[in-house]
Amino acid sequence: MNSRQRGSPAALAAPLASAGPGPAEQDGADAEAAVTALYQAHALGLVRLAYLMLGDRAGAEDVVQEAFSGLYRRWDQLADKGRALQYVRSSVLNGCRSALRRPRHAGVEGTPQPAAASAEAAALTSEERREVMRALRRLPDRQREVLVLRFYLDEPEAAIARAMGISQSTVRSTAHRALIKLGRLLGETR
Amino acid sequence: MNTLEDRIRTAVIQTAEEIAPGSIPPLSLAKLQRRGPGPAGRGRGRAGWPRVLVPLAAAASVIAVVATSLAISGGTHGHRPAKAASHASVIASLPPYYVQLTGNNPNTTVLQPQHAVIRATSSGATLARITPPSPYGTFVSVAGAGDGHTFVLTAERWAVRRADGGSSQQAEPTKFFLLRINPVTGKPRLTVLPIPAEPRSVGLSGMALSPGARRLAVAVDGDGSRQSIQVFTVATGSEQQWTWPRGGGNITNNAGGNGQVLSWAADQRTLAFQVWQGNNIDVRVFSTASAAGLRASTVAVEFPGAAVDSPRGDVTFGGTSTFITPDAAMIVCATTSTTKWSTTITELGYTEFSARTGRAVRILDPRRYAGKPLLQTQDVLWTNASGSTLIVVADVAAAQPGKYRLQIGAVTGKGFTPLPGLQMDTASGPVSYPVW
Repeated sequence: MNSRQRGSPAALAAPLASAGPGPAEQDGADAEAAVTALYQAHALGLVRLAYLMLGDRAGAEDVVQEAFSGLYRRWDQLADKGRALQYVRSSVLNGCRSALRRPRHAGVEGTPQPAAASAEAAALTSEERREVMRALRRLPDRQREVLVLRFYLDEPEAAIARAMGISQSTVRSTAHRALIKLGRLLGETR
Repeated sequence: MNTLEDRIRTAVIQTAEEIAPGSIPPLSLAKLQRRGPGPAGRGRGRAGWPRVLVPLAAAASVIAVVATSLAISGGTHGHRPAKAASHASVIASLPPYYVQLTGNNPNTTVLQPQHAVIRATSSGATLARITPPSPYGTFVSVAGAGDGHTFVLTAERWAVRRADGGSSQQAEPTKFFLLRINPVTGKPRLTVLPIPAEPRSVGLSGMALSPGARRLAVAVDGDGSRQSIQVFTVATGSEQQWTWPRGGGNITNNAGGNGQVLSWAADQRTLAFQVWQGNNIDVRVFSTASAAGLRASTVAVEFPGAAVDSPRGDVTFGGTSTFITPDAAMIVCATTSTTKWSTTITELGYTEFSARTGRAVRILDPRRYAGKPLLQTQDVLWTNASGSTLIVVADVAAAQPGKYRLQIGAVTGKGFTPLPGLQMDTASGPVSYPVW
């Protein structure tokens, strides 16, 4: 049974690469299908990433929607469709930075609020987690971004540097400072 | 890794999981012209994102996906397929990845060392192949948290691999591993859990990872056939254990490691389990937070060797798995009914029983078969929080009249949605079920 379930090792790119050549309207349908498939597979993770960055669920969903809309509009310009996920992830991170730069961004200074209708989320809430997230929200945006990429995405320094457009040594020093400050904040609040 | 890093990692993961699978709104693409390829297109575009987005008719985008998916799956003879427009939204509501154990030899009568493959639910494409770290030679079981990202795998070291009567197999203590698939990058990460290895003399008859992946329940057969349920805290390995009384039946599903014997509610305290005794099959429930523990378990649903009342006639247990829904309201399993129809017609379906009263509340995707020999290969593999969407193994009609094959797909009140890459050309079940 499993021997029949073959697929490309580059699975994330597979739905995108399947779009075949055709007339212009066919290309449009292919782009819609490919972007929609990518959204279905990765929207949850990207909204979660944006939620960690922004602390605001509605804002996170908006940022991800905008990123995928941008991907759709630029689909024909992507030379390597297999890198679409990286492209859209960079867009999400850029969107989060833009949102954080806007004045009076709701939720940035607070603790992320659990989804109102989620009993599961309520069951997971703990003072320990709130304490860490509260401290994380008090870090400068760049420090928080480095920690989120490192601890949520498990990204190595090189990938974080690429995603943020900074050098690896800056990633290292930023993470170092962030951890010191976070430790101090958590010490203060305990 | 130090304590501070552990605290950050745990906090961000748990906070991210506040965004529940299936709660993300559908994509609303801008109805603006896409920029064309080539230098002209690149030259005239402005940098940045559109600020005003005009929603595109959702059906136009999803129909394209539907067409692709149906072409891959080969259709669903004998089923009431979900409407095209709902197909994409059903798939979008499912966990994004699943794990399946597989060996290199498809011969189902000879056990092979197994590795794990990670596949995308929406396409069936393989993301990664995971082999057990040395010295372990094979994965033997897998349980998922239901979110499509977090799994526990058990590994052993087999000295002898034939299990068809030639010689016995020898297993080292069973070791537990956590497999986490990064929700954004899709990268898998396998780590050893601090849960103590199960001794060689102990056999695992069931395993379930709680929603949120904080607790792992394991049903074990100990020496002298005493059975017990162990519950581990995943982060620390701390353990609770309750022994099942002798003569109380067996905690099993008689499926050789496939299917769900144990299942958790989202409160991470309520645990359901199957007990087989003679012709009776019970689904029992207890609170792991209660001091009485397993002794205080109660029967939620009972199959007393005969059919039980259902909204569409009497049904009997027709699969290997039973799930308590994460909201703890329902017990879900595959069922068979022969009594409402003539003796030549069998109805298969997926029945949801009230966990409080044991009464059948509804049957999803009931299908009638005329003159079909019952193989009871249908099953339930995953449920969403309320049981309104299930991932199931279904019997579907093959191209040849009177023949059937298996197809894994999602069922809702609106019908059956086949999942790409999960169709089998034979009526025999998979060696190892995919796990979400």
